[in-house]
Amino acid sequence: MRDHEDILVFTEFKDGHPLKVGLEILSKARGLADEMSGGLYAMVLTDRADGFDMLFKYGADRVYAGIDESFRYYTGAYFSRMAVSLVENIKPYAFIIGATAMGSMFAPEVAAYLKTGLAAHVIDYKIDHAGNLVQVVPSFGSRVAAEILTPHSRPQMSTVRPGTFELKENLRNGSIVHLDTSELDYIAPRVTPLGFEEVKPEGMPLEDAEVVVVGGGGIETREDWENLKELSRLLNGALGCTRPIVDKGWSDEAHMVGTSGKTIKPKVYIGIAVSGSSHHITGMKDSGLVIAINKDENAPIFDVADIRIVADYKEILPALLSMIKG
Amino acid sequence: MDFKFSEEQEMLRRAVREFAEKEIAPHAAEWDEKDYCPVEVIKEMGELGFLGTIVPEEYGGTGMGYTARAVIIEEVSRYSAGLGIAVMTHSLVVAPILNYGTEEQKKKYLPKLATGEYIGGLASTEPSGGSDLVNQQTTAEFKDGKWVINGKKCFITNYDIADVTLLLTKTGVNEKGRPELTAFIVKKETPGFGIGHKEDKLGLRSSSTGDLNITDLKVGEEAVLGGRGEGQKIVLATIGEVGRSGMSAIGLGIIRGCLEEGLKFAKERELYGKPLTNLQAIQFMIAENRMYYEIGKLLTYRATTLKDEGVRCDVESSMAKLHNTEAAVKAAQRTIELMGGYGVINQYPVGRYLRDAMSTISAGGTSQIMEIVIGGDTIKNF
Amino acid sequence: MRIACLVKPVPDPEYYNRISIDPVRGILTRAGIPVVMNPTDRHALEEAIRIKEKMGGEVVIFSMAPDDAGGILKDGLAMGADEAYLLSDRAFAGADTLATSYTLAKAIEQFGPFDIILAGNESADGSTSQVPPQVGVWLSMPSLAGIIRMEYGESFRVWCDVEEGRVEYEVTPPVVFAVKRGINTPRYIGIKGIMAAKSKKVSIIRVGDISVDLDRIGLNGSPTRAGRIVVPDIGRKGETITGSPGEIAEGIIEGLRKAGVIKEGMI
Ligand SMILES: Cc1cc2nc3c(=O)[nH]c(=O)nc-3n(C[C@H](O)[C@H](O)[C@H](O)COP(=O)(O)OP(=O)(O)OC[C@H]3O[C@@H](n4cnc5c(N)ncnc54)[C@H](O)[C@@H]3O)c2cc1C
Ligand SMILES: Cc1cc2nc3c(=O)[nH]c(=O)nc-3n(C[C@H](O)[C@H](O)[C@H](O)COP(=O)(O)OP(=O)(O)OC[C@H]3O[C@@H](n4cnc5c(N)ncnc54)[C@H](O)[C@@H]3O)c2cc1C
Ligand SMILES: Cc1cc2nc3c(=O)[nH]c(=O)nc-3n(C[C@H](O)[C@H](O)[C@H](O)COP(=O)(O)OP(=O)(O)OC[C@H]3O[C@@H](n4cnc5c(N)ncnc54)[C@H](O)[C@@H]3O)c2cc1C
Repeated sequence: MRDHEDILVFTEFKDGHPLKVGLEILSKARGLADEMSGGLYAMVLTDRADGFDMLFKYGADRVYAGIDESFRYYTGAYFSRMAVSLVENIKPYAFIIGATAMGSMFAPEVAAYLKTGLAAHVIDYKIDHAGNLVQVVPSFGSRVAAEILTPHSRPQMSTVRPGTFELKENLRNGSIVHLDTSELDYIAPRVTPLGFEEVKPEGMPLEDAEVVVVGGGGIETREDWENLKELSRLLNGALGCTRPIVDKGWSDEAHMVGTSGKTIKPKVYIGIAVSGSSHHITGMKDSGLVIAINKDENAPIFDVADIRIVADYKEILPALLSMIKG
Repeated sequence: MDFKFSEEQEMLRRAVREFAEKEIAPHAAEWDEKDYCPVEVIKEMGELGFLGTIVPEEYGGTGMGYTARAVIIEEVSRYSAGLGIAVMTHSLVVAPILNYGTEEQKKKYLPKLATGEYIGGLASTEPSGGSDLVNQQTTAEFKDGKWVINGKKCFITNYDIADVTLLLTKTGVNEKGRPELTAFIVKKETPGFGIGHKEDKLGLRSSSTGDLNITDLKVGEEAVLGGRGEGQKIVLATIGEVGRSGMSAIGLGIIRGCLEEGLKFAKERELYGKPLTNLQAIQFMIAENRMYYEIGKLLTYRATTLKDEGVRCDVESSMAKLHNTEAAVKAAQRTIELMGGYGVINQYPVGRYLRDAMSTISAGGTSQIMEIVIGGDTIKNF
Repeated sequence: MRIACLVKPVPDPEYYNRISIDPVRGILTRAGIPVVMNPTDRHALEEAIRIKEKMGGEVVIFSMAPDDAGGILKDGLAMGADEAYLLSDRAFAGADTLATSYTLAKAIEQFGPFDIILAGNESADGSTSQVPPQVGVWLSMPSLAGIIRMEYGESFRVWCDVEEGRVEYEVTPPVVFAVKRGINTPRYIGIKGIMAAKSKKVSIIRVGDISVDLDRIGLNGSPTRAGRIVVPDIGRKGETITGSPGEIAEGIIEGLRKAGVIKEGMI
């Protein structure tokens, strides 16, 4: 181990703003960098020279910024080339990337070019006696957590899903280093982005809500689904769902909670006719108060619930709605 | 002896199971409650080739045979025995056309039956008694170059959805003074083919069963199957081997349903702080269901393997039918007991399985008739 | 069009609540859990078959898994793929995504060339989503993941799901695509397919059958090492509330109030 080890975090930008996940990772990685007496660096590829302040606010000592029109959308050939060059240059101890849609294409590609290990969807980091980064990842849904080490290659790469770590301010007086983008001229990608079509998710984003009502596969009718919507509205909350609801077409993946969906930590989670499969629990287990309504007393959701209600939701929901409406 | 399914049969089982889990299981209770036969699902099964296993490739089927057919019926009946009997009855017109039809009849009907474009049925039972099949009151008279058919059939599965029905009639008496029976292939749209009253059944409610009122229905000579006077042989052979092995596969599906539902419940339900499976008395019930299933499986698939080899199997089919339909009733009853109070709650499917199982007993010939067939053969040949 | 489709056999996700860890040996017990085709890979295979149906060509399945996965690949052939390669050898075991993608890429190279490599966006068990982009790197092909829609003709247009929308790309093959479930509804396997699969082959590929660098496969070729496996205790000691619907509703509201999410005047 060297006397100091630096951590590089890729912070994805959109329209001149960092995505929250990048800041969450910085918040967490600040502690690791301190533990290793190293620097915490943010890598940015963006089409606008704005928004870097936020990175310093959440603990970055330095920002490596590549600014170019071609970074507006993700193009693997460009992004990987930039990352590989930077990593080879600054040789970080760890390289952490947000597991967004873009990050999930980018991180594996970079790891393969660097022939290093990549731990997916880390939920916790530790540093062991040998000075390796212990990366804790979930598997089989959230049924099992496994420790992944990359003992012999550097950097130790990993991804982190949005919502995994808390934001923590730690203002730094950092500097910006501009990355040279001229070598991109020699790359002719066979993948060309044509544009972006916004799909605005209906209602309040799950990640921002204090109360999330989640309707599961046991919701029988569209009308009941509308009632859940009403309930979430009355509680100033958001309405999430499980996979069967997406399959029915009543909601979409932007509202699905779990392995393939969102990780949420609202103050209150209310699961209605949700069984509690490990793929779903992954996404909600760190919620504040967990309330579950299920007619099957053996439903696994009850194992992670604070308030258990063994009942038919069709009886409870009308009573609850009318009580809230007063 | 070879007790293994072929790789194709195993693949077929996986394929049908997946179809049944997705397209049948979620709706079975609702179909039962609404007394609804899901024709659209039967059509989809047709497109997947599930209705054409006994039809050779030259007539648009797959020629996979009777074991394959039983696998399909078992998997469907695991979740909906009602749909199982609708599917199984379909072949009661396919098999006789294949075995006794003219080349023209085969070409005309089999390709459409194999793909589910046509759904089939067989009408022999009359109000005067199904067991007494020979005593047909429905008559066909040859007048002015046409057969004119009149009569009433009852308890006919697919009576309203079948495009093609094999109709058993009396066309006179033979030299020995016995009734001469003749079978006709009749299309639904033929004038005089009256779709009558629908039975509100105890079980097997995802199939429709009802009356046919045949009045002055006219068909030509080309509608006669296998020749005048061949009807009794054709229908008895069809029901005896195709119908009864099919009914046995329905019973088998119900038994497996009971076995699986009971097991699931016993593993999840806690009593005295432990899973129900810890109680030996419960283990006995599960063992009993398992035995019913394994015995039923051997009986059913032995009969269909014989059929696939072209060996006579009416007695084997009768044994399989008798055992499996009776065992299905017992398995359902046992499973309801195993579940305690929950057993009789309609949220659980086992009550439906019991109703379905009861309803399989007389379809395709009653238990007493099976015993007569088995007993008679045993005394004569064993 | 020659299309390679990556198919991973996985323990049936319906059973993941039953996975437990053997406390003595520290390994996962998956006893009694059937192995199925990774759910998302069925969508990849469906898309591969649709491309073939529209543009002609051939669909070849590649899978790295133990020998007993052959049945699952046969199902893929019954769905409409033409051929399957099962990469099965002790030497491949213990692979992380880098070694897995290397091994798959080497086999694809050997039995190629291919225009399109289709994969699922994620497996049900590892769920890293890392294999498809890494296969792309080994084959020097670009890759896109999260694909929710595709149009094909002279070039390919694909739509990738991203946060708050979709990005549309134009792509010139050869390329690696990882698709999401929403892209299509996979067909059921019918009997015609099963009969046709009879004459199609699942070839088992051992380490000697492909030219690989032995330091890049299996555990040796894996930069990551699995440390301890733990079953996190996420259980909560909850209370059960019972009573009439009205009483239960009151209990819920009481809970919401204590959690501080019901402001005065809201109710
Ligand atoms: C608990 C646990 C945690 C793990 N964590 C990591 C980790 O953090 N980093 C790491 O490098 N490895 C990890 N692995 C190992 C990894 O799961 C294996 O390398 C696996 O072979 C491929 O990865 P995946 O299942 O995540 O596939 P994904 O990348 O999620 O699969 C996407 C698609 O790639 C294709 N594909 C994947 N594997 C195969 C295959 N064997 N054959 C054919 N097609 C395939 C399929 O089309 C699949 O839909 C972990 C494994 C376990 C059990
Ligand atoms: C790779 C992979 C990723 C996945 N990712 C996700 C993910 O991100 N998010 C996700 O949700 N799923 C995901 N899944 C699917 C997941 O495995 C489960 O299938 C899904 O979560 C089940 O949803 P459910 O519990 O709502 O529905 P079901 O399993 O159908 O359960 C319905 C529940 O409702 C109860 N119920 C029924 N009627 C009533 C009533 N009237 N009153 C009260 N209760 C009632 C039942 O008792 C039952 O417990 C994934 C699967 C895979 C393979
Ligand atoms: C769900 C269902 C579907 C059906 N589908 C069809 C169909 O598609 N086509 C069709 O033609 N028919 C169909 N049937 C009719 C079925 O074939 C008859 O119900 C069966 O043959 C018995 O006839 P039965 O009801 O008239 O009873 P009966 O013949 O009147 O019998 C009454 C009782 O007498 C007993 N019995 C009769 N003869 C003897 C004997 N010799 N010795 C001892 N006991 C005897 C019987 O076992 C029974 O207990 C269906 C029936 C059901 C329940």
